[in-house]
Amino acid sequence: MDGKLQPISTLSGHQDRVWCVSWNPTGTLLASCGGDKTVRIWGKEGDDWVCKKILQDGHTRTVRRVAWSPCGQLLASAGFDAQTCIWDRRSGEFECTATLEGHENEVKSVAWSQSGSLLASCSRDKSVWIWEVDQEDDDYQCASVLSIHSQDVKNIAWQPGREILASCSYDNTIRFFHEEDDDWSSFATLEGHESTVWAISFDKTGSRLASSSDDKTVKIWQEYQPGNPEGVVTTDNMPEWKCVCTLSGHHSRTVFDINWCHQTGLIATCSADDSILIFKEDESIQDRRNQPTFDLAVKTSRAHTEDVNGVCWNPKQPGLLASCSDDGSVKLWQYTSELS
Amino acid sequence: MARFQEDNDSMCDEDDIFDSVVMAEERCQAAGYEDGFKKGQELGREQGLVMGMEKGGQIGDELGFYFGFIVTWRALLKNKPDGDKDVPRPLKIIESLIDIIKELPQEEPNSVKYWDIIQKIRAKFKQVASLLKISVNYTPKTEHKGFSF
Repeated sequence: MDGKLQPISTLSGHQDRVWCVSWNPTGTLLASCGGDKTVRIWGKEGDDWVCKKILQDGHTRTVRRVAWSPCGQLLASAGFDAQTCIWDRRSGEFECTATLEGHENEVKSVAWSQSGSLLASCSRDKSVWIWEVDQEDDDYQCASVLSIHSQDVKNIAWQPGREILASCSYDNTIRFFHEEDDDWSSFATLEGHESTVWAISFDKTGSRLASSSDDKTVKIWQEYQPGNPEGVVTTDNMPEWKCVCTLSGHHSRTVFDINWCHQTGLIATCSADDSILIFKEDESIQDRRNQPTFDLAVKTSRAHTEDVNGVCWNPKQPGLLASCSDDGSVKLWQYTSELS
Repeated sequence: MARFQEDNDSMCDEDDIFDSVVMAEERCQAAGYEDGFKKGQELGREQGLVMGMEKGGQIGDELGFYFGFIVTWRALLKNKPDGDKDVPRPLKIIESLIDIIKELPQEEPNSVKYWDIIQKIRAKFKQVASLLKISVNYTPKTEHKGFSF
């Protein structure tokens, strides 16, 4: 272990467990949401991090996840009230300008594609919905309803640089979706985790995916394009994904969230064992593509006093990490490598 | 059965007179088993028929609900003025959904493929309802419970 994770600030305000934290694209605002049905926006004033806004008239039940649009002007929130709310800050205030309905029950996650023209949501009703976004008219049209998973869909993520969506589920699998003939379909199933896959996160290039699971492990998956030099067989001219690394023995309970930093390449994980871990890839390894090695850089055992539900790297400030927990707090941390 | 009878008779000539009594029990059991098996088969077939009719009725009810909804909406959309931008997309999905429902194979309701198609129909219906901005859900009819006073 050659790094340090130092606490910077504890943000209190949520009246119940905090489920998710998310930085805006410029890294100046942090959104958090939780069991108190609110979304809170945090920002820096002087040297202190303060709560700038409380968005509370959108959801009637727990807010499970929040996601900023790539332009940073829209914030989507997924609620257990089966709705996804879109908050627009172009007027200066955060206004709820659209409510997306259609899921039968709890919406578990929401994610914008890199271009901002597509929005995906997933739910306990086992389905993944894809919405086409018209930002000018605040119009959201359902492009597809995908009932592919056999259980609760926990999380979704768009592949950087492509209009490809990945989802993970209580059915232990990760699925990939793409658009084909004006409709969306699944083209790959990643099997390997022995229990619920809670979260997935792509690296900067989008050719690698990290997943965290109830089986206490983290897996790294590599994309193999058709005609790859390794000779991995692909079907229907679509890429194939293979697990190239499993990190086990680090967390003692469910790994709830994982976030791959696109600036530093560091992977942060958090767990029901109250800890936050940081993994760093060993760059001296020869075949990093097919046999990568990730070393534990930091272990913060008692990061929070209860389950840690979410972690998110700041997109602009290297090493600045936000976390949130069942203990009702949001914390900010700074990672430093002791070697530097 | 006939051979069994012979053996039994021949044995009766011998010393063991209780043998026929013991064998009679087994004989009755075998005959009873056969009768019971036949009766059970008949009853099972009847129950299966009722169950199949019920399940088939449920699926028919659900698909009929979707079909009626989309056929009505197809007519409504076609009546809208040309160039209405809210028409082409739902109309296209409605047309494809009508085809999927019409072409549903009815021979193998136990196959995985059959249920995949049912799932697809449900998903497409949700998409149509969403595009039309209508909150509509199929709710199964409650079981017929007869009259009560």
